[in-house]
Amino acid sequence: MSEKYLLQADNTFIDMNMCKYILGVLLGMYILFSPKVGNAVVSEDEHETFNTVDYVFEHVGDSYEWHFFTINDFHATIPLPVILYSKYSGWHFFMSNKFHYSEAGFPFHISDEGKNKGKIVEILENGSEFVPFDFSLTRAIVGLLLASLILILVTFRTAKLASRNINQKPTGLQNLIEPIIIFIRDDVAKPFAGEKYKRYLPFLLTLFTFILVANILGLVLPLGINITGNIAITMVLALFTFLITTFSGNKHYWKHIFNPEAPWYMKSPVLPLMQFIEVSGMLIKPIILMIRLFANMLSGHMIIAVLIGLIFLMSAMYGIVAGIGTSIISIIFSVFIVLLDLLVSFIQAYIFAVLTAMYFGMATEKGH
Amino acid sequence: MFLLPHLGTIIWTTIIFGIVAFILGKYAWKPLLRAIHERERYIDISLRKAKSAREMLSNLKQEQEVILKQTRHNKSELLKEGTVQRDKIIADAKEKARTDAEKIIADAHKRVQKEREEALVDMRKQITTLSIDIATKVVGADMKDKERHEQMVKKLVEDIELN
Repeated sequence: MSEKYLLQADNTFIDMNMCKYILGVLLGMYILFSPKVGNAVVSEDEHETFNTVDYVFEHVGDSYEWHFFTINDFHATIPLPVILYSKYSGWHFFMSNKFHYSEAGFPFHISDEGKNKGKIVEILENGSEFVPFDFSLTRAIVGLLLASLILILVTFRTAKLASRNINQKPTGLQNLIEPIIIFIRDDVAKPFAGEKYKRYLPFLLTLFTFILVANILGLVLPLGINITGNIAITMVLALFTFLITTFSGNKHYWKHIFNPEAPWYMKSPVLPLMQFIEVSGMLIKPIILMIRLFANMLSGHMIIAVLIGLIFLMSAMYGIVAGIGTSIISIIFSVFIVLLDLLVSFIQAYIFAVLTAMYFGMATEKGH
Repeated sequence: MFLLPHLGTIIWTTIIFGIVAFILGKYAWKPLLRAIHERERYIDISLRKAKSAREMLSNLKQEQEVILKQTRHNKSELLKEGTVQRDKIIADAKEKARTDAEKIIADAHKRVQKEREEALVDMRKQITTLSIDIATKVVGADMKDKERHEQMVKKLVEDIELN
């Protein structure tokens, strides 16, 4: 029943997702491989340059500073803290604007090229580059903190309200949060997470709301943060699922992996292979979770970045009028994509929670 | 570039998500889930109570109807009985009055008869006395006027007879 449920959910949105991917791929290919464009576009007066690839990557990737917009020479940027540990020089703590106004002899800078592109490197005394451990509060982490803060504020307020009017009509925020809780409890945890669903309910609720808030926060364009489209973040979420699944695995679960029920003469030749496949499956499940959320959110962000980048590209290539003309189309498409991503945000949070619940359910299922 | 997870991000995310999951689990979801559960239980109990109250009410109504019916029945029965009783009482009274009257009349008759007899006896006694007196007077007195005596006796007897 659960499989069917999921397939249905995926099928319904496959068409919309396909449209999005095709659109994204076409636009991306046009920008990246157009013979006229190349990597960098230099306009006629040689002053304004526009590098589309860098523009898109800067907007969907992570960054050491929080950049909003640039008007001529004015950069609206919030510097973020950089925390480094180098085995040569120990711990370092400074704000990211130091990269721009660095005094002479400052050993750290963000590498522009080579295999360390985008990373913070330390120039050692002998002139060679060294990559220190980087615990900086990057833009994605700040976004994550923001999402956590919003989530904590909202849920705490709701919890306070709920414990104040027990056995009464829900008021205010309760009407927003309680349906989500009931939805997760009745439509995610109860049907998928098995008999002991109550034990996993708080985690599933945190997972769903956390992903949802992070997804939606990432869609707020002026903030320009890509939170759940960052593979490290989705990796951690999937890792939590994986660890909880593995540690709640009962005898039946492990027996199914290492010694599946089958006649000995059938399984003995292929048992190592079966074990290998099952163990791979154990690992692949969270990896799928990680990739699915990451790819979905990244693609949405990338399309929006490409669409917006197109305005500047056209403006740089064919003048300001072309830019304005393109902006009309770009904005219409962007609005469509943002709305689609809003839907995707809910769906991905839901799918992540449902799959997690299913893995928990599998791990705690009793033998038949 | 996007497919390589950044170690710093992993560590920060683990810390942040771990703390958020712990805090929310303890201070947000727990009271919220309890409140929701509590409310659901309350609604459930209230609904059940309402149902039983409704049932009780309908039972009461039925009972009421039964009682009403019975009362109505009793009333007509009583009325009927009352009528019968009344008729009987009246009939009895009439009967009694009749017998009483008859008895009174009979008594009166008896008494009249008796008085009459007594009167007759008394009269006879007086007649005798009178006759003796008269005879004494007649015998003792001067029988000068025979015709007058005869007339007087005759008149006396006539008087007696009249009585």
